[in-house]
Amino acid sequence: MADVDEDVVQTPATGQVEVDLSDETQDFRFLNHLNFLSDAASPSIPRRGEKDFEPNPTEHQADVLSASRDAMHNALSFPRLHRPKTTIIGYYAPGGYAAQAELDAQQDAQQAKQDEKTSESTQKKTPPDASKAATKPVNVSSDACVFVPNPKGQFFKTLGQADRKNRVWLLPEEALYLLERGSLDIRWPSTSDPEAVSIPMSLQAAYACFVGHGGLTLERFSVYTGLKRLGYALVRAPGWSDEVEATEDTDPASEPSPPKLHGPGLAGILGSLFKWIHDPRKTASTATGPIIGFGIHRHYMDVYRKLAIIPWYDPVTAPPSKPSDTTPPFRVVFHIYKPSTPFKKSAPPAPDFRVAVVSTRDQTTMPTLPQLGALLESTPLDPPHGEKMQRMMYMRLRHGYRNVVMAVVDQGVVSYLRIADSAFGKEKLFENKGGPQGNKRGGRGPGGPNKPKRR
Amino acid sequence: MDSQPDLPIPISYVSGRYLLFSIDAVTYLRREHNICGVLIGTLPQIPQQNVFLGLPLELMPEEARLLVDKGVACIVDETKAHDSMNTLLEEDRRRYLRDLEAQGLHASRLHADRKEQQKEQALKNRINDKNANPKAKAAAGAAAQTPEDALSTPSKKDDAAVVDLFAAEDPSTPSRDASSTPTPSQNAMGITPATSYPPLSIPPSSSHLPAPVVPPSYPLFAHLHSRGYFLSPGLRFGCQYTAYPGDPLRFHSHFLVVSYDWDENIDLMDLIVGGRLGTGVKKGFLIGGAEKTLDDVESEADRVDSVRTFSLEWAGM
Amino acid sequence: MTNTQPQPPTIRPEPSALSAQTSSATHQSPSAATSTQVLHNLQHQHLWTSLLTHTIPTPLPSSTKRQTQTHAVTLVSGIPPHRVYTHPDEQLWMLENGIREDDLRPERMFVIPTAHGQAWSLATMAAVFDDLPRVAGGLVEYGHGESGDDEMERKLTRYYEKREMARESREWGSQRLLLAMVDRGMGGDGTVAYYVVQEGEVKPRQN
Repeated sequence: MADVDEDVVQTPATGQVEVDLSDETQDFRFLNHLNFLSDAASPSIPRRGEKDFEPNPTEHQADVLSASRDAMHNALSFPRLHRPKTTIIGYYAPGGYAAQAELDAQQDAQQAKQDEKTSESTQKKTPPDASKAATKPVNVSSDACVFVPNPKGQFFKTLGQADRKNRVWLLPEEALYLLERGSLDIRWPSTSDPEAVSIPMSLQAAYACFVGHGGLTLERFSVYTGLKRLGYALVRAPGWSDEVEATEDTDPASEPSPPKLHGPGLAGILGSLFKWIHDPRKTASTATGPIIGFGIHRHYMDVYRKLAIIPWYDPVTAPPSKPSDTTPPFRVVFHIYKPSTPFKKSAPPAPDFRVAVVSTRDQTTMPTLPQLGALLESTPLDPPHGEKMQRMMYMRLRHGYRNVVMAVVDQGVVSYLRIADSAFGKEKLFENKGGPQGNKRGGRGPGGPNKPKRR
Repeated sequence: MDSQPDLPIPISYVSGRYLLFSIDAVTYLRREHNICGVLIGTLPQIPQQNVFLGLPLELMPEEARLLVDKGVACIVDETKAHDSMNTLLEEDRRRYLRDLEAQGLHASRLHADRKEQQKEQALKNRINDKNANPKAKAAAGAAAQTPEDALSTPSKKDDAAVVDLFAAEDPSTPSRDASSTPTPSQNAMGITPATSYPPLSIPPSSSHLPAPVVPPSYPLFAHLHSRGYFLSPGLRFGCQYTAYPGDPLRFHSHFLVVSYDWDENIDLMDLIVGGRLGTGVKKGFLIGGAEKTLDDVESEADRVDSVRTFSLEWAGM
Repeated sequence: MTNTQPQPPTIRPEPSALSAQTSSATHQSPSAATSTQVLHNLQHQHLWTSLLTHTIPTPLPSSTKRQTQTHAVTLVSGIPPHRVYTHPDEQLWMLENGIREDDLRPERMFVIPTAHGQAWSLATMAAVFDDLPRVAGGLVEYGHGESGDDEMERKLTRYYEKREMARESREWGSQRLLLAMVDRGMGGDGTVAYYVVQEGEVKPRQN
């Protein structure tokens, strides 16, 4: 564990946290600076505490530890309260939208009957409403299991799907996330007796009902909620269900994939390279030698090019694969959008990141090359582009041509790994006069932050 | 706060994982049994960050198993247990709602009081500033709570009061305010309780699930735990467990731990890599395993006694 | 350039001392060759003295259950010029009592030579540790250095008494060995990596 003794923390809203504080058990005493019950104060993240090497029998140490534990106890006891004026109430519908729609229809019919009986003169609104709504396509997932009749507030910009009655339906992860952060009061369905007052769902009940429902594993939820807390928007990817069929052409991810070569120069060079490989007239032979061939070599480049006889994989020409070609858990299950990306839930744009979720207790070995290859190939081509990438080779290599984020969840602790398909074969070092370019100049060029990480 | 929950503590088994939702259980297991788990939930008071997390607490199967074997905990199929929500008696349902409402009212009042206090404090500060201009700075300094103050008074009164509200495990709590303010009020805050007990009653022991299935590393886990170490999942740091000499709230970890079967072939390079990794962060690399297999003994617990461990550090030469 | 004498046909470079040693010695097992290489490395790179070898039987990993096949491991021991390892608590005690590491008499240290790729297991490690007392018996002696300084003599006497107690109570760690691994990958480059291995949970050094 990197015990970096740095206390520099920025609020997550502004960007990256330099030291990943979530790596370590935090001292909850520092939460006490926060004024819990006041709504005005926007709480900032407290600094971490000093730790000791080992227990000693001093009272001081015991006191500090007990204070930390008390603080933790207090922080974790903080209740989820809903103010009467702003509370948002959702209803748990175990049967999902289909069952609820049926129930609605029954109730509507009953209502209509009653209305007819009681006041025949009154014009009922329900029938015209219903007929109008019927024309509106309903796009509610069959996994959705909580509906919110009065969806107000910021959350529903990115969460949920509306039905004909303008109720918003939430997927289990969405409902659980909102309940857990204290933003949604979910009620148990009022069983047989419609008069019965509905009971609020506890956090425990929500986990019991929502985790394990509709493909939501605890690991997937940990990833979902962890990224939501940092402000990302997440939607389920087509690979969510283990039984993916090859019918997900609506995947917005597969749109931007024209294999564009960057820079006409390189394309030309590649062209000539391929031509050379297949040119039988040359005197060179890799089978019988000499590799370089007879004749006059005017330039080292020619020699190097001819020496490049080892075939290499080109991600640009790799055939795209479908999520169905991948093997769970090495399959994209979330599309992630940065807070800065304009996100419309009815038409989500191409995602900023694609995430596969792996549980260490179910998958105890590293992915095989075919598994990893299929995972990468299921993502669209995302070649390095832009002025910086053009200039800096290491950045290009690091960025790769396809990429995917693997979230490895070890008993609640999530590690994110970015896996990229680097095209080393595309980078002809011998063509760079003056050696590898990019970030070595003065150590601190514009490429400073992109220095390849030391391992 | 040093309350002792009723034993055995029910561990919620949800979709193949082991979770705790009761803060008293979490605090108790940490204090008395050196079991930390991993907090995975969002803290409602600061929901937009990942540094401090809240309930539920996820336990490793090893932790759950250890507690079950000790007789401290039992495993409850929480999804099944919640089926009885449908069959709740009308009477219980009503009583529970009344209790919640009483608590909600209490929370509202607390909230209003707190606002009032803040207003007063602000007013006082302003007056002080005016009256004693030269001393204004000092006054402001005193009003702002210094970090030391916060440390010495970890539980502020109001927080403690709110905590009381949610001592839901105590069966006597709900009936406390039941008689007062039964009328529905506009002011009562809605509450999402942490646990479902009440309104549900604790599942009978006949419904408990068997002890959790544990990985082959369990004997080493249990051995280190029996020596007083606190263990956390370690993959993030390149090992199986990280072992702390005391509560991780207070102490740095001592070891990166990897378990091997007794006769399992160890790639010597892995020992070098582990030793290097540990030494780089001032930790030892600890390997170990049980000499006895399950064929040799009657129970998993018997294997723990046959565990041997070895600590590795770079020799510096 | 004046041509003086006819050149000899080819000049082979002198074999290295190590090559000479490993090729001349007849080894019963590959592990014995590793031991020779480690011994050589200790002697010439790390300047250890009084080097000895000791043969102990160890079980082979993944040998069929309880059908312990054994093979011999050749341990190396010697006296390093400086102390290789001091337990954190021992270090503290020495600091409090005004003893520097250099005041102590050098001690014999045991080394398990291994090679990258060699089969290894907890059972092997345990067997080596179990046999160590037998091998080390009589070889580890803490004598008093002759500093000629009475004050220091007293301090050292106290130290060795404490040390004996600590050995019993294991408060300064228990048995320890150096694990030496010879890099044989890609033909090997002669690198030998040394790691301190101790039985049990021994807290890490903080410096």
